[in-house]
Amino acid sequence: MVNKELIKIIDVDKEKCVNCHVCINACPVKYCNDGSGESVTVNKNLCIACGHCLSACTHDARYYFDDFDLFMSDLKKGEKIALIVAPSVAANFPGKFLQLNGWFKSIGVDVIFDVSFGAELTVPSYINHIKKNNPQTVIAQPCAAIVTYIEIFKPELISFLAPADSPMLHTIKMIKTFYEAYKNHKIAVISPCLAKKREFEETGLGEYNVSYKSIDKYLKNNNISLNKFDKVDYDNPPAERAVLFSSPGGLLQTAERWIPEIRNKTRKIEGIHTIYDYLDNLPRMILERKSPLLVDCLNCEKGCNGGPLTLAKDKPVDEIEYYISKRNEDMRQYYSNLSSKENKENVKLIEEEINKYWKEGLYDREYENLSENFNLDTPNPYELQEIYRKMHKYTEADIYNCSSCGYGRCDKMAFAIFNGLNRPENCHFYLSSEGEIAHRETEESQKHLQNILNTMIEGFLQIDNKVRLVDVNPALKQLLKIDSFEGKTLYDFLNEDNKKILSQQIALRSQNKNSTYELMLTASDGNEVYCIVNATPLFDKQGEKSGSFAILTDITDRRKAEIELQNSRDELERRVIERTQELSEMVEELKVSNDVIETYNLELENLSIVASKTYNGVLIMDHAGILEWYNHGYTNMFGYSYDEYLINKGKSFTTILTDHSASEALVKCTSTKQTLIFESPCPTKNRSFIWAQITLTPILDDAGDITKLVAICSDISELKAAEEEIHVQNEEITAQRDSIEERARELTEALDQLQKSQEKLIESEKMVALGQLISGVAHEINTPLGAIRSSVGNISNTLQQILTKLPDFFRMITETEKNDFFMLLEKSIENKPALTSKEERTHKRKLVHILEENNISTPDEFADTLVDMCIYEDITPFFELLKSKESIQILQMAYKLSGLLRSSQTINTAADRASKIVFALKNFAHYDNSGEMIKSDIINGIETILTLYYNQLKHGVTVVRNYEEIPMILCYPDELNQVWTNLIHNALQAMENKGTLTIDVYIKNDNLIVSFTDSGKGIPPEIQNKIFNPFFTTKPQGEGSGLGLDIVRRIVEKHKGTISFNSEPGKTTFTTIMSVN
Amino acid sequence: MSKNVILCVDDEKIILDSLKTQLKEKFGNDFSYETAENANDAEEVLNELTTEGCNVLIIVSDWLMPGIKGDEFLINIHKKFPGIVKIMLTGQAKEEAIERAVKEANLHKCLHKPWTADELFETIKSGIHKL
Repeated sequence: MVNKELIKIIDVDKEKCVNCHVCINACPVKYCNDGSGESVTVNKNLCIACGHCLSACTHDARYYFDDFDLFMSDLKKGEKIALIVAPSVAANFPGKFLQLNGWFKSIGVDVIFDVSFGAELTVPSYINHIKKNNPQTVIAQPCAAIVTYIEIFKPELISFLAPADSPMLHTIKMIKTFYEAYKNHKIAVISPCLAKKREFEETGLGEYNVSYKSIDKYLKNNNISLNKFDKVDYDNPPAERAVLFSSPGGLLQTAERWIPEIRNKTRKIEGIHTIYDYLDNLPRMILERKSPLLVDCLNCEKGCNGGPLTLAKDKPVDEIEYYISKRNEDMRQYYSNLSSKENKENVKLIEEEINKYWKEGLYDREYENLSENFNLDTPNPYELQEIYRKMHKYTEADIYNCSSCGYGRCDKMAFAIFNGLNRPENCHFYLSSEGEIAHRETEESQKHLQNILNTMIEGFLQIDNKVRLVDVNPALKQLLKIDSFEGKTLYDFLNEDNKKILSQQIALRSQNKNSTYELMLTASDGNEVYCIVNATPLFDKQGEKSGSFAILTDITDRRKAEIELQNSRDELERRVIERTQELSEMVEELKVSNDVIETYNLELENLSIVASKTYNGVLIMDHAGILEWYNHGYTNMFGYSYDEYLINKGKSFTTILTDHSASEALVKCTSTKQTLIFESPCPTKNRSFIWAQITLTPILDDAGDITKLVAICSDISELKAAEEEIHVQNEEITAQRDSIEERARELTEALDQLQKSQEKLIESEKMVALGQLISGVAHEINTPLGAIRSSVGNISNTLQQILTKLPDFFRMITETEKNDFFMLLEKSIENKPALTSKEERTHKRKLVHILEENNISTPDEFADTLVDMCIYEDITPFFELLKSKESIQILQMAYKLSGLLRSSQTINTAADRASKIVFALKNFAHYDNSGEMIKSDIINGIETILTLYYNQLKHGVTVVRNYEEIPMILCYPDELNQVWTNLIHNALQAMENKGTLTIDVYIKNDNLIVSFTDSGKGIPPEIQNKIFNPFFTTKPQGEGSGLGLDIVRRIVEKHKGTISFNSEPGKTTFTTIMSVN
Repeated sequence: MSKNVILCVDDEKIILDSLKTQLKEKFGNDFSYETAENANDAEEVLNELTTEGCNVLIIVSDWLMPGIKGDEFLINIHKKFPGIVKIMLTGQAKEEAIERAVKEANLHKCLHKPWTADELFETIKSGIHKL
């Protein structure tokens, strides 16, 4: 089976089609119509040609193809044509159908047959089938629309179609078989039917389908009256009651003549509203054995009499049937007259006529299965849901089955959409949903707009042609301090000058253009409000100007920023002077503390000598602490001669030393039986005291009992005194450190405040530059502060640690080691150039190598410590020291002592750095209020600015200074500083802090020339003539107001000078020329 | 034996010197201490140390330095050495640079100059604890 191309029978005139889809509603097949486009199109391969759409279309857009014109022209050409006429002619040309024959003959038709006789032949064909094949059901097939429907859409019913020709085909075959004279004639069928063409097509029989409608039109157009023509009878034997065939049930009535009981086994059904539903259910009925024997069915409601191309279509059915019945009676009368016997005889006569022309097998018919033509896809449930969603149908309740689309049911419409034969826009439910959605969206967007107007910070107003306020948003009401704008005009808020501005702007705006301008309004409380106005004209539907609306941005704050700027500048100056003072004091104090540390270093040396001259005293006692023996060292220590002290023999250790620590030590030592070291103040001969460090050691016998006690005493009075002094000094340093930290904190606070002031002033261009300076200054100050704080901590830590260790340390090391130790210290603190970390690493590697070669342990740690101590080479003299048992402690002590000096130096460097930056800041912020020119050093001013920009310059900008010697110049130095700041700042930005900044300062012809050249990308030519304009800026919004160069130019002009520039990529020069006088 | 290393990066020598002294005083021989004055040097040192089999545990870096800035430097390091604890110590840094370092370099903490010994030590200790 393949898709078969069928001929086109019905089509649509696109120009006339309004896409109303009433044709789809009328169509029993639905899917032969494509309603997805701008007009409906017809798929001829699915069209059963029932013609129902033709009368349904009220726009005359549907038209059909019949063969009347061809028939007439062929006839004129002399074509031999046999005419066969359908029985419905009796209802279409009532009383005149035989005169119609007369007309046809008059125009050259050879012969005319009556299809009613073909219908008489049809009945025995059916009865033969029933008797021979005993079928369960036979579907009558005179109606070609029904046959095509079954072939395409119900192929399972094909086997139930009567396997016999239609009355029309019976007639044609009869002519071709039994009328030798006409068998080669072409056949024209006079009919009410379009679908007959499908029969021509499938069987190859029949040439012209000539409709009643076309005939009638031709007759009327040519003023032909049938009354003028003779009645001419058909050329075939007359039919009997088969003339009823064109009426519903005509077949049945004819069949009853032979099988009276057949009426009980027949279903008579017609009309598109019922017959196709019936056929759809018939297969099931057949299966359930509920189907009738004969289905006498027709597509058209009034049978063939009311076919699509009849003239009787709109006539009452009774009138139609009247003429058909009349002819039936006439024909039956005819046969009755022939026999003038009873009914049975009539039947015999007609039977005889029929038998002449009926032959078994001649009228057999086969059907084609055209179901491949119906090649549309059925959506699966998921796809169906998807289609429903496109139709805005989400629940069962949305399935209206309202028929508006023409398909009768939503699922059928969905099927059409799925196959691209329609679109959701044609669904009534979809359209009303869309309407609702659109309505909702409009409402929402209105609400949204109102919301914007109500919440926007900018003011909004609308005025009419008379400048009356029509609408005002809350922001503007607040700005103007009004509650209501009823009866007010915009002029009510303007002084005379601004009224003029507004009038001019409104006049300008009569063209369809936006305009932006500045306006000063007077609020109801008398305050002045400066606004940028962005106005747009409004036009009515006729295009006449009807007023305008405007957005007003409040810029009053910007206007006031100038004043605020001046105030902040004064404040800044005051703070900087204050902080500079404090920092200077701090630097002084740091210097003092450094002196203290140096003094201390000297004393350390002395202490070591003292330690070296100490002699120990030794006492030996019995187990209870009774003195038995003492040495000279001991008596010397306490100022006695050796003999003089003999009286103390036999006395207790506690009596000799008197201090309670001695008693405690004795008790502890005898109980724990372990050596004990303690310090005690001891009385001397001259009744003063010395401080002694005493080591008390018990001597034990084999049983572990104490036999003797030995005490070794050292005079540590001087150490004690030194310790006391260091302790005092340490407290002082700690106090100083606290005070430095306090200063540092204050400075940080001051910086915080500066940053806060900066935030407040950020709106102004000058403040932006200052703000950037302050960020730089923060880094510049915080770095030395960090170094200071950490170094001060290091000093104080070191001091605390070595204090307790020093005495033991010096006692522990030998004289030689002591000498080496001081040499090491000396080498560490001698002046050397500062090295970079990288250089230090190189030295360290070398030292590790040397130490390893000389078999010195822990070479890594030693090398690291030596490099930290700034000892990079010539370490041979220290090999012995480094190899000694105590090497680690000795090196550590030297590292820590010399570290005090290194930390001090770090503090000095840092303090220098900080005071330099504060000094520069002070110079920068200094502001001369006298308004008089003073003699000033221009180069010094430029250098001050460069110092402040140090942190931006140091990484990647080379500054080339071409300074000639110049005299002091009479000028406003602070304002010139601002010029240099701006020009340097712009230059750095232009080269993104990388490149070369060249500064030329020289005198030529009594003029001072100062120029700044950067190696940046240059100023684009298209903005070169704008850069001095106020408010012109290339920076993102918020970074600058575009006032920088405007101010620079003003200041230079104030000095009776000029400023110019020359820019090309890689070289941009700004040059100021000012008179020296 | 592999050494545990703390690497300090700052373009100011006075900061490096005082910082190293401070750390050495506190942690002594628990670590060895290396310094570098810019990001390139720091990466060089890091590669050398790794080759020698040393274990760099912590990097303390300034933000405002010549060439590569601290955040970018730490992000680069993080790609190669995700395990190293990264600390920023700076007198001035943009907020977004710090946020970026937190996100992309898993920055442990940002300290501000002038710093206190306690906060520095606490930060190092918590950093070590994290390892």
